Amino acid sequence: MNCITLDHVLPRAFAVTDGSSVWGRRISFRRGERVRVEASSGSGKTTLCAFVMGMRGDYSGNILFDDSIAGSFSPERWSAIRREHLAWLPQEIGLFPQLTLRDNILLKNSLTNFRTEAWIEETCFSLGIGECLDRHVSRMSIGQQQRGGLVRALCQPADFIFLDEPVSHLDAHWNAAVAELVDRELSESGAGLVITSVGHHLDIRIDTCISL
Amino acid sequence: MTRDRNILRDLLLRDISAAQLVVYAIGSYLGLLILTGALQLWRDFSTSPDGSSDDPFASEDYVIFSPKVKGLGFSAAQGLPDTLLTTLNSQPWVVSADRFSAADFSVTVSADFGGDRLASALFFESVPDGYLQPLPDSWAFDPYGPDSVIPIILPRDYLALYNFGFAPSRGFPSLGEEVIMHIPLSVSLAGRGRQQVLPARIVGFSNRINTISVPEAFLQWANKNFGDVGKSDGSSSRIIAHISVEASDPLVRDFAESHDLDIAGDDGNASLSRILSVILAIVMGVGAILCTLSVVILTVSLFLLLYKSRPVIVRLVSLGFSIRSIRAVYGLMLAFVNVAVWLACVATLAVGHNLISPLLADAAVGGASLLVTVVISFLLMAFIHAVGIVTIRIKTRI
Repeated sequence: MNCITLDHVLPRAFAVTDGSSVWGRRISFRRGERVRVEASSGSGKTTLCAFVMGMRGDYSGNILFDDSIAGSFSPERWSAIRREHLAWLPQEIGLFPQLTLRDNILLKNSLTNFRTEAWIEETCFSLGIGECLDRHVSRMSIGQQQRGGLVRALCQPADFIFLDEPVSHLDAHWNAAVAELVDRELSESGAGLVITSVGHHLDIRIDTCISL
Repeated sequence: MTRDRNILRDLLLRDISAAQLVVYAIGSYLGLLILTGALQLWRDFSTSPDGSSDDPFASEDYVIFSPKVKGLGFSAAQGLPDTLLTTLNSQPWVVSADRFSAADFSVTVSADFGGDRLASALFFESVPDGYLQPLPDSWAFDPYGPDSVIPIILPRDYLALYNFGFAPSRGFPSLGEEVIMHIPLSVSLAGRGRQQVLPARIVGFSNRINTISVPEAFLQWANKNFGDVGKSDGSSSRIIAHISVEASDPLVRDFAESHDLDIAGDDGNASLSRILSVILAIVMGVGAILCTLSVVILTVSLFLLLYKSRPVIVRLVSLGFSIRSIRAVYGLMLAFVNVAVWLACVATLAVGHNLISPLLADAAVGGASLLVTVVISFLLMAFIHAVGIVTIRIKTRI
């Protein structure tokens, strides 16, 4: 997948789209490109991610993956796209609190067999959450969960990585560690990056910045 | 890989309520067991040990028609009109009908009870062998054979009359069927100025034929040798009919009424069979209600479980898990419970069947294959499982 196009996409709940460079317009995200979507709270960043990930369909207009209209995909095709093409760290992170961090990550990796256990451990330690691997997620801080969620999101091949406010609970030190990890992954895979932010930016090189 | 798969299973099944699952398992087990147990009993009662279906439950029946006796009664000549048999045989509910044959000579039967000689004037009748089921082994008579013993079938009622009426009043011992069948009897045949004494033996008891029956071959021979020529044609005033409906059917009653006939027959057995049928139908109804309730419990439990687990399911889907693989976890869990319930039910049925088989054999019924009931229980369980699978499908739509 080389290009994601939002063709006049407008959430059904939205009536006014003045000033948005995304809603109601035609905009494309290209593989290899790094885009930051800036917006204030409530302007639909999470909604945008949910639309692209196929988790919500309450919009008008079309979302195109290359030339295919995403709204027509079968559940099986969506599963394959989420496993092989689109990595996603949602704003609410979505780790299962009843599992340990390790089981959370292994659960995702069981789908893809993309990472080794050694890579998972090494990456967690580099993000300062190595000690949390065998701890239940319910006993981890939001900042630790954010980093754990990122490791889980990277346990798959991807053409695009969507990070929904990935560093909102991180200090400068761990922001830099996350940025370094993401930068390395993008360089190795050539994936595109779409990162949303309300002002707490990930400290990474960005090609395009748009406002929602 | 196995470990990873277990994570998914543990995650999804974490929200299952063990109490609901146990209530469902017990409910479906009891429902299935009662329903199929009653079904097996019904099938056992409908089958003879030899596998045939001559039984108290079959809709086929036997009745005996006799003319109504009014006032001072009728003479033999005034018995049944000749056309009645033809009319009866032409009824759609009649399989076959025949007259009884009656002895046209005098019969005296005597027996020795340890020195006490008991003798009584009796009568003999016969019906074609086809109406006697099962036919006793020694149901044959050869007048020229070296040991020409006359086999006799007595109505079971007569034995009851003797045991509970006659014997106590005269200080005689009560006799079981087996004992009576071993008592040697002497039968004196007299008529047309001749007399002959022949040995006889009681070879069976019948609920169906309320007369003292002897083989038709014997009666023909005896009537020829001792019968009063011209007095009668050897036909009795009674008709036995094999009918394809129950003796209590209005068709039979109406026919008897319109031809001024009395009905006798397998009534005791028929009413017993009706009572058993009603009881088994009620039991099966209870089983069916329990099965239905267990389906309701299953559906409600699955609704609650999947409602509670919906956020987990949505997250799993967002990670890339297919809804099919998620449904498979719930489906497997349900299959595990249902197979366990079904196996427990089949095991209980088998044990129960083994325990009850000797009792059924004593009652001359039983022997119905358990396999049919097992297959039916499997189909019932498959239906319950299908309801569960459909519920899972509906409630996991994203």
